[in-house]
Amino acid sequence: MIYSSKNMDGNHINDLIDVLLYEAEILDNHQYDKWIDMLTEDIEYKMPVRITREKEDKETDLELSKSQYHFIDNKESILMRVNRYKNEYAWSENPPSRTKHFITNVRIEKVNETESIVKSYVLFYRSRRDNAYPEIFAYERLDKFRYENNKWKLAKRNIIPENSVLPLMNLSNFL
Amino acid sequence: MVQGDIKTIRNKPKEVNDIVSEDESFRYEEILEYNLSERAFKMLGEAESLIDDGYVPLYLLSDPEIYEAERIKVFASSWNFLAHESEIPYPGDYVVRYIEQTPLIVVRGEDNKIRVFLNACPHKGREFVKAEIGNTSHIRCPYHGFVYNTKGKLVGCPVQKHAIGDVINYNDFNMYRVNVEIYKGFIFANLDPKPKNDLSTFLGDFKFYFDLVSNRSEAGLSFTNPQRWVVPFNWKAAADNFAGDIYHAFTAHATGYALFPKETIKANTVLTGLQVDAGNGHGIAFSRIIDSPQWYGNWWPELIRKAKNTLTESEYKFWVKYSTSTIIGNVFPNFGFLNAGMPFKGGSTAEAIAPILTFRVWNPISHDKTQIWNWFAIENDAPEDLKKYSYLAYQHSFTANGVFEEDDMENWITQTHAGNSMLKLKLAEKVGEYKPLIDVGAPGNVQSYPSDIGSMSFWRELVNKLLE
Repeated sequence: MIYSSKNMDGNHINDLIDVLLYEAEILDNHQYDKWIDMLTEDIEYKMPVRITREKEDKETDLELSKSQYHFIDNKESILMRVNRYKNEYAWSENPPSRTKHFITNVRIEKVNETESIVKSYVLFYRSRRDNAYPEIFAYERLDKFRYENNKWKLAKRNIIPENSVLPLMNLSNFL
Repeated sequence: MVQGDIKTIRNKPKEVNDIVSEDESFRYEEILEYNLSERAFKMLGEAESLIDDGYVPLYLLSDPEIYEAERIKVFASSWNFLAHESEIPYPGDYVVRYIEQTPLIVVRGEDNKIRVFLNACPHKGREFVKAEIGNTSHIRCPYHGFVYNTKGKLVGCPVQKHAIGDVINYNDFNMYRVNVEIYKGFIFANLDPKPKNDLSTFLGDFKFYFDLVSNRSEAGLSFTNPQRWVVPFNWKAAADNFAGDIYHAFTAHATGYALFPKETIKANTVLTGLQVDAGNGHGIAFSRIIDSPQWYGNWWPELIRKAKNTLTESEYKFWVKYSTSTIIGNVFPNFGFLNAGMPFKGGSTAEAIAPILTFRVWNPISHDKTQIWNWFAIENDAPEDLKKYSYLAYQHSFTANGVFEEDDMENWITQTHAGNSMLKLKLAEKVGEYKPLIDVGAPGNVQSYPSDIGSMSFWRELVNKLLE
């Protein structure tokens, strides 16, 4: 685990890294109720579509679609998805995907008593059915955590995908 | 020289001399030959008679040789949807698209005319553009620096006099052009230099139905960027589904429909839906959950009035009388669309269901792999709140993580997987076969829901094309 500390409180830094690792564990164990508890009421959860553009046009801003998203969710819609996954007729996750979220290159950009900005890279590994070969998908997370009731809660997540075409047969897991 | 993999050039580069007039290039190339093997010919003959009896042999779905035949006999000679005009609104705008794996540039010229070219330089075949979208005044090959205008005409190359002289047949250096036609803002291309029919004839009676989603407002539609993902299924599984399978919805999408307000889903209204074989392999289905065309009544009743001006009288009559909550269709071979009410913000009340309109191309990569191209669309003059909620309802229901579409992938993947069987499986696509055709004042063969009539029209046309 690599992280930078720019005059920040060491305890908070360790706490935030623990939060990222704990989140990965509960997502990989499909413990979605616990995950919901980690989200603020006003959570913004987004992954815009990435567009391959020429260099002179290339600012991350232009590379990310303003009109099309892989995720554009709030608490209500996340709950809708979570409740669906609990149902045995949610065929996309029955049998469930087996996943690992590998979190690395963690950079804590800002931290104070109430808020923190955390960047990280994720390598998402997924195995389904009896396929020997997994699906692998890399992305960057730009997270905002808020300190509420003695806990760091996720208030904002922008997911920047590496791929303009997703190498996944569906997106039936949270990233 | 300008460095790099250059496509975007605001003005013609200085080092390139003008050598030609602004005449248009009319260069079309022949499509490759394809002769069916004895094996494929036998399989297709068998398929033809099975289809007449209401069966579909599963080998049509997954067999690699059938796929090879489709490349030339289906995709290279059909009108394929590439893009919507709203994706390239300004002169110089372009997008890169594909027919099967043939790479194409769809460009709006400086003269505002839309043309389609092969994304390959006539000198050595290098692909011009690797970006998927952009704007340019000229197209330059990054390999040797040949530069073309947006009409596909060579305007020069480095040390041109020494390289190609003055007397060469410059037509050899014009970009390969592909036939293009536009219907209601939808850009279709045909790789055949002499298409067997024009787009209007190709769509035929299906125009009646396609108008219901594409021509309801004079303001026209706007498309988003496409969402794309790659799924291990054969493209025909999705075409079969969109052309005529609405029957799967309540099982495959049980968890999706659970999000709808209970009082709106009643078996007796669902059973008043329609399924249509509109000819030429085009199929469409209409299911009924509520008595308002695709829930627009709750959000934008004005659209129902506007459509009266743009639809023909019989289209309009049909739309308000029958189309009801869901329209799902497939333009042969692989261009699907859906217009339906879908849940946003968790669903469960009628106010949480908004109309969505989505178009998609089942772009084949191989016999067992497909890239899905998925666009959201909405009328330009739709109210702002509807634009917002409609997009959210679409994103949460019919995308790679849509609470509906997510479950479709499993069906199509496993059908394709089962198609690897060494057995000659014949599938009984006979739902509704016993039912009479009905007259609803609309073209094509129409049956009441549920029925496989639309799917069967797809398979019949596929086999016809392969045997042509």
